[in-house]
Amino acid sequence: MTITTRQLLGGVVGLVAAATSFAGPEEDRKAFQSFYFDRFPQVTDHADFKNGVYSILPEARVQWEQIEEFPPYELAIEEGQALFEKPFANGKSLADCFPNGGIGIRQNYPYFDTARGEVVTLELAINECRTTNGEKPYPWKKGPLASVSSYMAYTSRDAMIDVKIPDDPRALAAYEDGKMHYFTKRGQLNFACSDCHMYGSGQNLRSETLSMSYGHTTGFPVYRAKWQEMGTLHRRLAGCHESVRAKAFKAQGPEYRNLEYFLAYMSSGLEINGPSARK
Amino acid sequence: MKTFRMITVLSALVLAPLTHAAETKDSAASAMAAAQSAWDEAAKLGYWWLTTERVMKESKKQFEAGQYDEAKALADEAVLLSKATLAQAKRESETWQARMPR
Repeated sequence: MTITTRQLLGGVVGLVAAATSFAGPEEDRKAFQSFYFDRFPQVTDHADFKNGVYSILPEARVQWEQIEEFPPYELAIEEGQALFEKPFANGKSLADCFPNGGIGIRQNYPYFDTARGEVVTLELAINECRTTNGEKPYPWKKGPLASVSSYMAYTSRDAMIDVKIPDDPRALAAYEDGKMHYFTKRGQLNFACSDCHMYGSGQNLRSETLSMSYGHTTGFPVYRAKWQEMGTLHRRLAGCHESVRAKAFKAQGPEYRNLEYFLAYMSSGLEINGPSARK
Repeated sequence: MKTFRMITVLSALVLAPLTHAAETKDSAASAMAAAQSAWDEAAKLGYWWLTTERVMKESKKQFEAGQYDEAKALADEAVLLSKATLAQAKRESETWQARMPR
């Protein structure tokens, strides 16, 4: 039996493909970040990717910085602090449910809870704290939950995203699920998240410039001009899905939590600068 | 005999639209069930298109208004959209990794 050149080549290609597809999260993260470093060489300080699309649009950045001088999310921070400190009917408060009393911890979310076997986001933890203490949960996408999350993000500003994938096959599966979601085309318009926010990043879609996924999670919750109010990351993810004519998944369902896990892990090392303002 | 023939013809004329209406109602209901089934199949894979949902809702609305032909046409369109969704799901399950940066 002889091995032809074609068979040999096929084998080599197969091995390379297999090795690539089984790359671990750390290799994924490096490749992901390098992609943006190569695509936007003008961003010499890589930490600036935390500012989203404003890191590549100098003129829009000037306007954004002016908005940030009197930030539209300021009221949400104040409301969030009041809600955060308000005792529940049983006398406890949100601070009792979180490490360090809930202050300066945003960068550690989402995390994989090995006891539960699932990804826990900050918003999920806030509402679970409320229900555990006999209070009603907040609506997931906006309003009080976005305000409390804004306050908690504000107390974590400048802390570097530190999302970990523990040595647990279920954690890796959650990460892989989020990754698959990110690179998979959906909706009637047949777009993947990566089509716009990776391979289309920096290009114009109608009047707007598509943002980069590296740094996508740092600024949430955001005050969005289009919404004229605050919204959580899952509200934005739902909006993105609907834009490509896909039916959105439920906010804080496993699909978006896993996607957030992947996105946050990809942005590891960037500073939290939420809440923020976006168009 | 003439009277009998006349009664037969008149009966046919009166009953024909009723029979047609019943047929189109059944046909629309059947098409809507097929649309729901195709939607469920795609949704099981985590794929659902907003467009399909809207067409299905409109189909139901037309059915409830007694517009069975329109309801059937919309349900048939929903089936085609769900088939396209399934094709997308199949293709993506095989190709999504090609989009990852190397």
